[in-house]
Formats: sequence, structure tokens, C-alpha cells
Amino acid sequence: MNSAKRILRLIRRIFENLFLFFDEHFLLILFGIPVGICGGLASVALNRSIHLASSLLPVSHSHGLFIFFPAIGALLSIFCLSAVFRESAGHAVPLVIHSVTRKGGLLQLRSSLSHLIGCLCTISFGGSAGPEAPVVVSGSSIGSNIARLFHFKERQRIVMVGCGIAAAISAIFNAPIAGIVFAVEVILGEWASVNLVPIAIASVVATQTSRILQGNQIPFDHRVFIIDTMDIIACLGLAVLVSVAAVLLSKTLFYVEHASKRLFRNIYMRGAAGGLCVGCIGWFAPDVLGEGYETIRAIIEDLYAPPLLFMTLLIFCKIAATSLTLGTGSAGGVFAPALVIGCFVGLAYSEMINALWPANAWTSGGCFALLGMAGMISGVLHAPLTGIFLIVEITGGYEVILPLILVSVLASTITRAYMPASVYYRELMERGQLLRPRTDARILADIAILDILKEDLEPLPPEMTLREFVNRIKNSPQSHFPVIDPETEKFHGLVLVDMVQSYLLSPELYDAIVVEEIMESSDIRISPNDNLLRVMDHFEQGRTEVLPVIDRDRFIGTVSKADVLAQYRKELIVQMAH
Amino acid sequence: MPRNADHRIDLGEAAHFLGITPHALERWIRQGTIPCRQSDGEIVFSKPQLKAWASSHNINWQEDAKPPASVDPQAVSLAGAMMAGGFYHNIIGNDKPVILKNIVSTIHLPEEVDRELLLKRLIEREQLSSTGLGHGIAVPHPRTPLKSGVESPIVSTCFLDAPVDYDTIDGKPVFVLFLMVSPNTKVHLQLLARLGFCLRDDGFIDFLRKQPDSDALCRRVEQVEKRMEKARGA
Repeated sequence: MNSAKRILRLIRRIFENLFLFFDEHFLLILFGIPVGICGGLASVALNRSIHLASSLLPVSHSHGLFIFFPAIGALLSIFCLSAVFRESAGHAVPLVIHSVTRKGGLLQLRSSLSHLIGCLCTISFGGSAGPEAPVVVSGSSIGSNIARLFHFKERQRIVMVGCGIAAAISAIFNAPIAGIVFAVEVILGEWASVNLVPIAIASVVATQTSRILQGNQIPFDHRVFIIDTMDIIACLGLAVLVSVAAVLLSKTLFYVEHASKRLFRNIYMRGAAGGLCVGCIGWFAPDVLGEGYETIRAIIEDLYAPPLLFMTLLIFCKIAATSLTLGTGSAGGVFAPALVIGCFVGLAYSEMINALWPANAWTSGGCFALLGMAGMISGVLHAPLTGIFLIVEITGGYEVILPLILVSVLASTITRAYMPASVYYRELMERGQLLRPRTDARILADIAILDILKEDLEPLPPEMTLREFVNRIKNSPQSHFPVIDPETEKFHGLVLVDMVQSYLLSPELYDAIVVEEIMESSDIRISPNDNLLRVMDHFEQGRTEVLPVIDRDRFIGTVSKADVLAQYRKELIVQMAH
Repeated sequence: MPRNADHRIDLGEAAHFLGITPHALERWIRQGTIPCRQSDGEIVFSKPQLKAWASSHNINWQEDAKPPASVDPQAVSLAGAMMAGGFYHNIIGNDKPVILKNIVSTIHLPEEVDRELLLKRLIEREQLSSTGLGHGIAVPHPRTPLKSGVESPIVSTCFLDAPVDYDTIDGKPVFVLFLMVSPNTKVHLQLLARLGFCLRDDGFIDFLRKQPDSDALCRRVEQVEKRMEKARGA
């Protein structure tokens, strides 16, 4: 019994100090494997469920209640998220980014399931959304919880979250490089080897898991496209067009989100209204419903080419349907709809240039559709590398790489000029919570007021004379003194020795002045929970070098510019070291 | 892994050595940016490991750093320093270098003090400007504290055989020199302040001119110092 207890204690100690017994990089790589397997399984499960559900629930025109289907899906999805799993409805990826930047990658275990089921309801009933964002949440939650189980520290937990994200994207698209690039470019924002290696391992494991279970299928069949210089030049126009579509999609999404919140306070009403609108759009254009991969497949293989006018209409319909689905609280991602819209834009552009310059032998519409997809992903997510690698991998074709790079980087740049924050970042940016690693804002946000608080300062009573004050500073190392009423403990202000030098050198004033008259009594007060960015603003404006920290009407210490900078440097060093 | 108990330090000590608050250190531990170990729920650091980490990260290790302004004015006593330095009479010489040379060769100093170096430093200081305070008094001292040899301050009281011109402000010839050797600048300034206070005392200079014996002089200085502390406390 005793020995059993000892062994248990030893095991617990090993887990608690895992990183001392083994090399950190090695351990992270090792743990990338289970995270990869679980992430892969989660995406296979969702993929299979969507297929199963679509075979059971054929969303088709023939059904009389057709237009109500997306509304039912939205209701189920919202019910599942808020009532069953008690999570906030809506965008899932910003939730993961927020957790990575502000909570050390902490995510609830139930998130690994909630968004998967919610998204299944949305897509099966015809909502215009993609399965990628929910799988990303699921994968990251798995990574986070495996890290928590083994007492990982925040930094290591974030790497595990990255592993889960890469695993999810790799498995769902059968695209390992895109998984790695998405996790690092979009979510973590930090290209460091400590991140990259475990994430790569997780990505490989997840892709292979998915291949074992579903076979090594390329989502969209590879076709050989012949591309000449004219096609590459024509891509410049396509880049502009997809950028317009990307901005339109992002802006509509936010508009619908804000407007629906104003119109309907009840989340179910909001979702049902959105779903009903989607149903109505789907009545005219059934191509915009669901994840839309079938449509993409048909377009790339040049099997589906509606006339230009209808194509344009489809683009607007898909943008509206996606905004109405995701903006009203249903679970789902913007990834797949962006691909579909990009595909439509590419095809429309191809038809347009063919009509304008019929003499030139343009490459096929399917090729422009591919380029449109890459441009759209790059524009909507502000992630050109993700766009490039994803399209190369999911189409299995490398010969389109030149125009692909061109469209992706241009679309990302043009979109960024009109919309500084992507759909994933905008919400966080508005709240001032988008703090990318190794940036000034992140370092300042990490330092808490209590980290640099100078406590135990000798207080002065307000009525102390200058003579007494001079005697006091003779024997004190303090450069500033709080003036506090001894009876009420009320803070009156700060006396800064360097600000009162002129009085100190005039002995004739020693009995004529009390400290209350020479103290700095500005209204700027810092609370222990304040953001250091705000504190730095006060310092930068040059009003003062020292600020009082007040906690519930009680003076607890001061924060000085010098202390902030000393801690800032140390923080910079430790954050850059990894 | 080192198991030596001496190498283990707790959170507070580690924070002190790294020059950050315990609050900030706790956050670093949570984030996993700093190497530490848990022992029965308590965070412990291995001192050599932490020191190596700090040096590899360019973070100043503040083990030897003393808290600022740790000089306790009560702890510095001019009378005590004078007792330690000793009292010497009838020092001969006609000019500064000779007098200083005679003083340095006469007085008792800790063995570690390099007398030649001390003399060189004293002369250097006098060349900069005279250390004569006026009223026939001078306080020769090195410009910067000697690197080794002096643990506690020494003030050697040296009465001259005959007053000598010392380039003082008031032009009066010097009859007594207080040679000051301090472990650091702060203590030196404290001693100087105390001597200054003594000199402001009426009759102190006349008392000195009588070349009092060591006990009488110490008693007088102690009295003045007590008065000074009383005035400060008020």
C-alpha cells in the first residue's frame, strides 16, 4: 500500500516537473503526436457526419418546407451551443486567438465538441458555412486540455493549441503544409522553431490519421492547366476583383452581425431570422447553401459554368447567405464560403476576359477559379501563405504557383489597405485584445501594475512643514512621498523631490510652506488592474514620471516610468528568448 | 540534478536576485519562461541554474547588490572613527607633500592598506584643490575610496609641530589635519558632515588649538554629535 502511494507520488512529481526531466523541445514534439491523432479524428468525425447527415437530409428544391431548413439548422446550432454546452454563439476562431494571446492557450474541454455539433446542425440544414473553424476550435481545445492534463506551462500549452489547430486543418483538407502555415500565420503569429517543429509533427500525424481512415484523396481533382504570360498578367485584375469580394464579405458579415443584434435581442429569434433569409436566398440559388464543396469541384473540372450575369448574382447571394448564417450566431466557419466565393469570382472573371478578348487563348475557367479561391482566402484572412499552400495542396497542382503567389499577395495587400483587421482579428482589435507575440502592446499588456508596484513608501501628513520635510528627506532614500491624511487615510497627492528643488534651496520658506502646497495633486490615478498601455500614455504625454496606485480608495504604492522600463526590458528578453 | 539544500532558493529570494517583484516572477513561472521546480506544491529554484539562466538572458544578477541608501547615519560615528584612526602630535614638515608623507608613514593603518598608493592619492587630491576647510583645519583624503583594506572608516587626527601654509580659502595656516580614509563615498560624506557640524560649534576650534588629549577630544566630539542627532530627530 505504502509503496503504491510512493509510486503514485513519484509519477505525480514526474508530471509536475516533466520539463526538467526531459528536454522541452523533445517533449513538445512527443505530445504533438497524440494531439495530431485526436485533431485528425475530430475532423474525420465531422467530415463523415456532414456526409451522413446530407444523405439523410437531402436539402433539395423538391421539399415543400425547403426554405425553413436553414432556420431549423440555425436554431439547433444555437440551442446546442448556448443551452447544451453553455458557450457563446458565433465566431469560434477569434475565441481561440483570444485564448492564445491573453489566457495562455486555456480552452474548455467542452469546446472540443460543442462547435463540432453546432456546425453539423448548421451545414446539414443548408446554412452557408464551413466546417473548418469548428474543427479548429475542437483541435485547439484538445491540444489545450492535453497540455493541462500534464501540467504544461502557458507557453508550452500555446504550442499544443497550435498543434491542435494544424492537425485540424491538415486533416480536414488533407493538406499538411496549409495546416502548419495556418496555425502559425493566422493563430499564433510567431514563427519560432519551438512552435514550428511540434506543429509540423502534429500536422503530419493528423494528415496520416485522416488518410488511413478516409484514403488519400485530394479534395479537388488535379487537372493540368497551361498558363502563359498573358494569364499571369490577367491575374492582376483578378486580384483586384477578389479583394473587392473579400472586403464585401467581411463588411457584410459585420454589418449583419451588428444589425441583427440591434434588431433581435433574443439569440434564437436572431438565428431563426437569419436562417429564414438564407432559406429564401437558397430558393433562388441552391448553389449557395451548405459548405459548397460540390459546386467548387464542378467548377474546377469545368463541368459547371453558368452565364456571367448569373455568376455575379451567385457571388452576391453567397456573400449574403454566409453573412446571414454566421452573423446571426450559427456555428460555422468563413473558410469554406470564402473558397466558394473565390471560385465564383474566378469563374466570372474568366468569362469576362473571354468575352472581352476572345482572340487570346486564355487558360480554363477552372484555373481562374482556383486562383480566385487562393486570393479570397488570402484577402479574408489576411493570410497570403495559407492561401497559396492550401490551394497548391488541395488541388495537387504546382504549375499554377506563379499566378497563385501573385493573386494571393496582391489580394492580401489590397484588402488590408481597405480593412486593417481581418474577420478573425477585427473583434479582438476593437476590444484592444489583438496582441501579437513580440510586439510592444503585448509586452506592456503582459506586465501587471502589481509587477512594478513600489510599496512601503513613507507617507507625509498634509500639514507637515517644509522644514520637517527637508529633515525627512535627508535620511530617506525615497525620491517621492505620498501625502496621506493620517486619520482618514485619504490620499492627497505626491511630493516629488525633484519637482520641489527650488523650495528646498530657500531656507527662508521652510516654515512658511506645508507639503500640501507643494505636492502634485493631479487626478490621474492608477488602479492595480489597469492596462500598462494607459499608464504609458500618461508618461508619454510628459505629465509625470510617477503615478499613484489606488486600490478601493486606498493608496497602495506608486508606479514610476523608470520601473516600467526596467521591467519592460526584462520582459522583452524573456519573450524573445524562445 | 543538484540535491544540495544550499542551492535551493525560494520565490522571494529568486525575485530579489533577478531584480523583479515576486508578482512578476509568479507570472513568468506560469508562462513557463523561467526554469523552476515544484517540491510538495512549493516552487523552488536551483540557484546555480537560475544564475546561469539569468546570465544567458542578459538579466542582471543582483546577489551582491545592497538596497540603495543603506547607510544608517546613526551607525557612522566621527568619534569612533577618530578613535580608530588615532591621535598624533608634533608632525613635522614645511609643505603639503612632506607633511602628508610624514603622516602616512606615522599613523597606524590596517596592514592591507598600501601606504604608497594612499600617499599618491592624497597628493593627487591636494593638487586638484586644497582640502583645507579654513580656521587652520584640513581634511586630506583620497578622491575615491581605496579599493581594499578599509572595512570601517578611519580618521587620524594629526597636530602639526608648527602651523603650515596649506592654500586654504581663508589663507590661515593649518595646525591640525584629519586624515580620512573611508570604505565608501557615502560614509565619507557622513563623516565630513559631522566634522562640519563640529566646526560650526562655538569654541571647538579654540579647543582644538589647545591640542587636547585623545579622551577629551573624543568626549567633546561625542557631545557635539549627540546634539546634532537630536537636532535632526526634531
